[in-house]
Amino acid sequence: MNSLQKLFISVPISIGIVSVFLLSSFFYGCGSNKENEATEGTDTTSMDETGGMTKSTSKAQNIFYAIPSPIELAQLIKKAGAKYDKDLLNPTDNINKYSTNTSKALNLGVYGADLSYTSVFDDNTQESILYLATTQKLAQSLGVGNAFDEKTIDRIQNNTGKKDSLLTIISDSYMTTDELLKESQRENASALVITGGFVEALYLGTQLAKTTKNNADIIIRLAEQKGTLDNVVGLLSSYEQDAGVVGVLTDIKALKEIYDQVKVESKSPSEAKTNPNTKVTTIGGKIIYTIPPELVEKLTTNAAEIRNKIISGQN
Amino acid sequence: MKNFFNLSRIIFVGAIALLFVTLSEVEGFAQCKGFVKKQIPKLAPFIHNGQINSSVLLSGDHAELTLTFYSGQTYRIMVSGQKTIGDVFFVMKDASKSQIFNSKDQGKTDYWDFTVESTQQLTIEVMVPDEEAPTGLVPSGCVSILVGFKQ
Repeated sequence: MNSLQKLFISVPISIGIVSVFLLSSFFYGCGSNKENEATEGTDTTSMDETGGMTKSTSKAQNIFYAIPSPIELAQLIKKAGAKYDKDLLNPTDNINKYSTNTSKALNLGVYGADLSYTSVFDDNTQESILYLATTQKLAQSLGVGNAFDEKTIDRIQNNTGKKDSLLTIISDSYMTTDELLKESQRENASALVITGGFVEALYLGTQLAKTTKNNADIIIRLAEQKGTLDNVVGLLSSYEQDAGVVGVLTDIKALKEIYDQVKVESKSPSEAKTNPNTKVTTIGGKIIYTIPPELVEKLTTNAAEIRNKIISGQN
Repeated sequence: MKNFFNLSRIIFVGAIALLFVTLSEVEGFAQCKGFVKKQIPKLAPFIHNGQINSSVLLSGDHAELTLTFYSGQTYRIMVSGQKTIGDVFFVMKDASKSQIFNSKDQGKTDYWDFTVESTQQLTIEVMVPDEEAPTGLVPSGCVSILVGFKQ
């Protein structure tokens, strides 16, 4: 076979291989905490009542599972009557136990929740600074130290006592963490950070419910985490091919089995009314969450087990 | 020897193609990163929930975000899309998938402030208009969904 013949054979093969890779990339799952699903096209040619899409053959649908910030969860628990208890926090010395990327990511979320808790519950400057330093160290170990760089640390230290500013800066740092992880194609680690933060917030809430005298409002807030837990499962499930995620997902699904027993009743439909002056819309509708005491106990035990497994570095 | 040469060539071409794919993914995220950063200051005085929800979408695509919204809080949802994909809009649906809000009804706005009387899961569905660019190519651009809260 001469050179020209070889060229006529090898070029089509090369083009074919490149085409296969390019076509594969069209359906490749992108970054971010989402799923990509190719949906069947519709043959409708007019806009539907929601102003939705028309005539498509194959459209990617992106689904984001969002989880409330630990700052928000701490605010809710505080407003519900909980008091500050520093003994509940993950000891900062535990950082030495976290050697795998999985345990580092989970506990970056845990320490973030602890930092949120100390910052929300006022006048805890010493603990806030301590947890800030621990979070910074763990972030560096995970390769996202820029999220808690010296400039950010200075901003936080200069704003102790100015709670709103402090919370905004902490939130910005966690957003930067999320961004850095996704940028470096570590969306699974981002999911673990978020999960760690949620588990710690749930643990703190359940423990504080035990020690707060009039805890009815805290219990309701715990019951309201049902939807969020579904989202955590959805989020982690996107990365269940990752060995580090699998074990955590199994534990979270056990928690979901408890939450599946929480009763949610919609007593009236959700309707939106916008205040013409403030432009703020209120979504009405009465929804009642019911969680019996024995289920609260189960939830408390289970949350503590999962949390203690995380902070012991077993993941 | 001939087969080894052909195999090497195939592997080389495959590696180039894979590199192209990877760079495209990284470039997609980079495209969104600069865009999302510009939107974040508009969330003030609401505190950001700490998660980046953004993606490069094509004309006609949907994106969906589901989140629990708590009674007693006030929220800001900010949906932004790059100009290449036209005026994106969003609808809000409750747990039973009933629509309770359409951003088109509020005029040209990229954010929406609201409260909920009862804690509930809501879904924000973002739509990219189904348009074709003059060149005949399908437009694409970054879409971000930001959520802020305050008491």
